[in-house]
Amino acid sequence: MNGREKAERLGKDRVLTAENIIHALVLIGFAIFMVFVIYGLDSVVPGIHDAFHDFRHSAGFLCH
Amino acid sequence: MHAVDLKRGISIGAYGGMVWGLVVLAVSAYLKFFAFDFTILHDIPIFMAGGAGMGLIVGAFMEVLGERLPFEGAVAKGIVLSVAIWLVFFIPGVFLHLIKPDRYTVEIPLHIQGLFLAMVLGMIIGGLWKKGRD
Ligand SMILES: [Zn+2]
Repeated sequence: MNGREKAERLGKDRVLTAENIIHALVLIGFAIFMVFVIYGLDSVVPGIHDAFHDFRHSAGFLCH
Repeated sequence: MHAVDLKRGISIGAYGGMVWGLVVLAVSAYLKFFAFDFTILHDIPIFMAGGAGMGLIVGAFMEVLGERLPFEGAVAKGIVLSVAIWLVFFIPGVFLHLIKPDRYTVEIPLHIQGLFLAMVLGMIIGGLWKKGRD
């Protein structure tokens, strides 16, 4: 395989399909969700902080 | 080299994370380093949801970075990624503690428990990953 073919293969393998983009968005959504779970931010979405309180302590994150 | 399939990473991660959430609940209820706010029954869906969130992120990184990591085997890769992601969420808390010591307190036994459980999450996801490949 020459360099160009290799680059093309890599390009093909790494292509961003529509499906991958949707899943990347799902992923970002969950990452934000976890920030709420772990850090509370009750002023933004009330309730999430308290609901996940036991989980946050159990998973070893800092809390009060 | 295979095409990146985030769906697979996310599904394995979310599934493994839900199982992990139950492990977290069991270990935490057993070790009793702190008093739960809620009953164990009430906490089951909460821990599964929180676990799914963590697992999904680990699974996605396994999918995207897994082949590039200089570690042998899905379990080792899972543990490294899981601990790394746990640290990404943990370290800002340390800074918050330095700024607001009353609001964010350091509780060493719980942080050790969490770090240990992060390794367990990596083992679960790595194990499922290996099974999915066979
Ligand atoms: Zn707390």
